[in-house]
Amino acid sequence: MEKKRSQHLTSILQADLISILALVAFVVIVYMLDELLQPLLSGFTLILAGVILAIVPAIVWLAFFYRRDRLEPEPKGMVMQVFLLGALVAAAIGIPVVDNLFAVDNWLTRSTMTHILGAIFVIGFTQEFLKYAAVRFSVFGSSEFDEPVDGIVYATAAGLGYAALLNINFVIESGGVDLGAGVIRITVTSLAHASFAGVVGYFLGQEKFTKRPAWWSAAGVSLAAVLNGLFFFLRSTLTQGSLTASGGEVQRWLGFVLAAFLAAAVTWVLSGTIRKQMKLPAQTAGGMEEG
Amino acid sequence: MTAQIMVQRSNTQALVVVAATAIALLIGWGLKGFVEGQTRDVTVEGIRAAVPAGWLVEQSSNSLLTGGTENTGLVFTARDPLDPETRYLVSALPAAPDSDLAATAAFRNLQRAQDNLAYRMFEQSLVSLKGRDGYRVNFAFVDAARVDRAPVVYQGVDYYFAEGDQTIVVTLETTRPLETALTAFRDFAAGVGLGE
Repeated sequence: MEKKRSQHLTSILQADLISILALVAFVVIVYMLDELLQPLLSGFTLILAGVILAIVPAIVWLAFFYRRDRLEPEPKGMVMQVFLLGALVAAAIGIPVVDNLFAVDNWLTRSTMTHILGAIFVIGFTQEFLKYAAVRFSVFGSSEFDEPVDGIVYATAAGLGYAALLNINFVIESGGVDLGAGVIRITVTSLAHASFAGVVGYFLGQEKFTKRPAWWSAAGVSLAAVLNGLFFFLRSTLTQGSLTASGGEVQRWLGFVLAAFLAAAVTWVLSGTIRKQMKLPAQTAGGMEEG
Repeated sequence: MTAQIMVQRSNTQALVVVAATAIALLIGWGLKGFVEGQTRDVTVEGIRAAVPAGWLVEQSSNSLLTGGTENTGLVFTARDPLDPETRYLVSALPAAPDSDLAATAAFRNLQRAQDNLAYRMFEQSLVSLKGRDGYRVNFAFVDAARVDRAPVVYQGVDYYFAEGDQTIVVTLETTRPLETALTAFRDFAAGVGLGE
C-alpha cells in the first residue's frame, strides 16, 4: 500500500506538470491564433471560439484535480454530473443573483472598501455556497463519496462547472471577447474557482468522515468566500481596461500574475493537504464510527 | 456513533452554512443600500439636488435629445461613471401661465419631436411624487448622433414641478431597462428644488 501511495504521489507531480504545460501551450497557441485569425473571426464564430476557450481550461483543470484521487478514483460520470450541476446552479441562481438582484456592476467599485466587502459578502458567498450546495445536496450522501479527499475532487468539479458557465457568460456578453486577453482571464478564473471550491470540498470531506463542530463547513464556505472576494477584487482592479483595444500590456500581466498567484497558492495548499491525507491511513465510511 | 446521529450532525452543519450565507447576503444587501443611498448636495444656478455619491456633475453637457442648452433650460447633468448610459438632467424653464405643467410638457415634447425624429412620448399624467405634486412624461428616443457606434435606444422619464416662477424638469435617460433605474431616480427627483 505504501509503495502504491508513493507511486501515486509521483504520478500526481507528473500530472501537475503536464497539466500546467498543457495550459501554457494552450494560452500561447490561442495568442498566436488570435494574431493570425482575429480579422477572420466575428459574430457567431468569435462567440463560438470564446465558448470553446471557456470549456478547454475547465477540462484541463478538472483532469488536474481528478488525478489526485487515483488511488480510489471517482466515477467519471459522477464527476461530470457534479461539473454540470455547478454550471447549472451558476446559470440558474448565481449569475441572476449577482448581476440582477444585487446588480453589483452599479455600485461595487464606488470605493476600495466597498469593492472588497461587496466582492466577499455578495460574490464570494453566493458562488461558494452554490458550489457547496452542488456537492452537499447531490453526491455527499452517496457511497462513492467514501474518503475525505473526495470532497475536494467533487467540489473542484462543481467549481470548474461554475467557472465554465461564468466564462461562457462573459464571452457571450462581451460579444466574443478579445481572445488574447480572454484566454488569460478564462484560464485564471477556472483555476481560481476550482481551488476555492477545493477549500469548500476539504471542509466537506472532513465533515463527513471526522467529528467536527457545527460551524465547521460554514467556516469552510466563509474562507472560500473571502479568497474568492479577494481574487475578484484583484482581478477586476488590476485588469481594468485590459480587454479594450487600448488596454495596457503591463496592467494585463500584473493582474494576471497577482490573481493567478492567489489561485495557485490556494491550489498548492490544497495539494499539500491531499498529499498529507494520502500518507494517513485511509479514512473511509467505516472511519466515521471513530468520531 | 450511529448513522442517524451522523445524519443529524451533517444536517446541522448544512443549516449553519445556509444561515451563514443568508447573513452574509443580508450584509451585502445592506452594503448595496448604503452605497446607493449615499448622496452629496450640489447647487447649480440656484437649483439644489442630492446627487448620488460618485456621480459626475456637468454644467456644460448637452442634452442628447436636443443637442444644446439654448432651448431646453438645461442646468446640469449628473452621470454615473460606472454606467455612462444612465444620466439625470435638471432643467429650469419659465413657468407657463397658471403654472400649467401639462402645457409646459406638451411644448417640450413638441420641441423634442422636432429635434429628434425618433422621439416618442408614451405616457403622461399628473403624479404625486413623495407628496410633491408634478407631471410625469414617459418617453423614448434614438441617439444616432455618434458615428463610432450603432444608434442606441434610450428610455426616459420627465418629472415637471412648479417652483415659483419656474418649472423644474428632472429627467432620466437610460439605455438600461427603465424599471432598474426608476427607484433611485424618483428619490433624486423628489429632492430637486430651489435653494442656495
